[in-house]
Amino acid sequence: MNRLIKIDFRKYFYNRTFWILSALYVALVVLVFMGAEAFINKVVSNVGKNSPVTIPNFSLYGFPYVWHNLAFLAGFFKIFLAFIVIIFITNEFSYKTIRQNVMSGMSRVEFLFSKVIFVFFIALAVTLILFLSALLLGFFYTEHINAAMIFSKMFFVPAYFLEVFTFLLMAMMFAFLLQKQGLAIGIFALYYYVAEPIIAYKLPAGVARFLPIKMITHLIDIPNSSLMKLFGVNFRETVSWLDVWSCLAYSVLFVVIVYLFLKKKDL
Amino acid sequence: MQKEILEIRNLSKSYGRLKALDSLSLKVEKGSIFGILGPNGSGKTTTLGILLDIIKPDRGEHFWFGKKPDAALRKRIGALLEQPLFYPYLTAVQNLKIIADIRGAGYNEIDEVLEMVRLSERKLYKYSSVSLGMKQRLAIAAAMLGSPEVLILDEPTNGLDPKGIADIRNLILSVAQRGFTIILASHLLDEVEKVCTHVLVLEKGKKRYAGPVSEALGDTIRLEVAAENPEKLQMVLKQIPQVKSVTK
Repeated sequence: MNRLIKIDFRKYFYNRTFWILSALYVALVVLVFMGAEAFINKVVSNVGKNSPVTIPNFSLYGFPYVWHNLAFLAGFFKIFLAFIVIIFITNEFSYKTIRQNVMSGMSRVEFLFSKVIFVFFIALAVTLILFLSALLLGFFYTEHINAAMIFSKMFFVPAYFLEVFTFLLMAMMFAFLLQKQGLAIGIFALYYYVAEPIIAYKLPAGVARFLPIKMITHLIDIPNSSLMKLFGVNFRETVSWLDVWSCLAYSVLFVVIVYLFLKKKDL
Repeated sequence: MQKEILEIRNLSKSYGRLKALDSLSLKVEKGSIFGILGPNGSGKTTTLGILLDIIKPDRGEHFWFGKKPDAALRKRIGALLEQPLFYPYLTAVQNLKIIADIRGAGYNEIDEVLEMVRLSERKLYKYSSVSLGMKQRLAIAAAMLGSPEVLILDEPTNGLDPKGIADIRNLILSVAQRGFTIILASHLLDEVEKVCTHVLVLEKGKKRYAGPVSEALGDTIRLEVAAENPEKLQMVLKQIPQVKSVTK
């Protein structure tokens, strides 16, 4: 495994595009984290100017809700990470370096495993960014902190990891199956933004919720707020085990599909 | 000691209705420079692709070093297939480090193979910035990393100028002197004649001849014939004065 990490690390470490895209992602996410509360409150106060009821301000950063709030927000940017994964996996086909890797003695399974590791480390890195951002903002914006407050909803962090990991494995599957960069990005985006919502709309709700994107995004539900409570809306503030197991099952499925594809495929 | 380094049995591969390889069987002896000769589309690259697990055959099997092939066995084979395949944004050394890691070779070998292909001075150049000839030489250097026992070279002189072609041919001969078994695919008879000891002639995926180059180019012709009663056929053939030898 160390050997595979070392090999793939070399492929990305010296790649300028990888660092530029990663830096863009980090800058974007951190900026959104820092500006989200002010932005939402400004929008709400504008919208509620003429409201007979006083709409309370949102507080995104207080412990323990900061974990849920930021994990939910970060979820919107995982498509950007999916594009990074697709770019770098399809590069192996466009440069034909997958051939060179296999010819040189890497098995097809090892090649696939190296990409799963790549996806794992990206998911881990962005989870770390979420964790540190939430921790720092939480400490900065919470009064009277105690340990229970900090840890009580921290389970949203591993849930976010699973959300990103499963999602990126799905992107990896699209990259392997389609191999052409533009095509893979286009089809993946089309599925994410158009195809699955349409399929979900056509299917009964009980079935639609098990569609992959639905399942993955359902891991972390919309955070509750005082405004929503005002309207009697109450979202789930936990992570359901059904969602966790379903995401894990999807993760395995995506890897198995790629394995079966690679096993028979001429490179 | 294993005499045959490679044995192919009834290998076939089709692309749709096109039969790229048709029941190919052959053996390659250790220490030989084995040429695969044939026009474009004759099945040379398909054969090599199957031997390197890049292409999956429809039928047939092959054995490297007497064993069923796997990734570990492929580390004992160095290969250049069709064109050099490297990461364009990495330098020659960085690309070779990836290959060394895959093959389990030491980084200390990198300078040695770069020296062998005379690329030491360009080792820190990005792959995308060097000439085609240098790319070919880098691919040969990569193939030689980890001291493989067999070197597979598919059209290694493709796209090179006359000096580049001469350089690569000399390189192949010098590598062969180090004890490598070399399998060289080419569409150039001249190349095979100058470099190889044995040759397989392919045409539309079918074997037309396999044997020593001297026999292929001399008066001697090797023919493969089949009969329901091979013993009787052997007896009849031996009585023909023009037949030099008969083997079963």
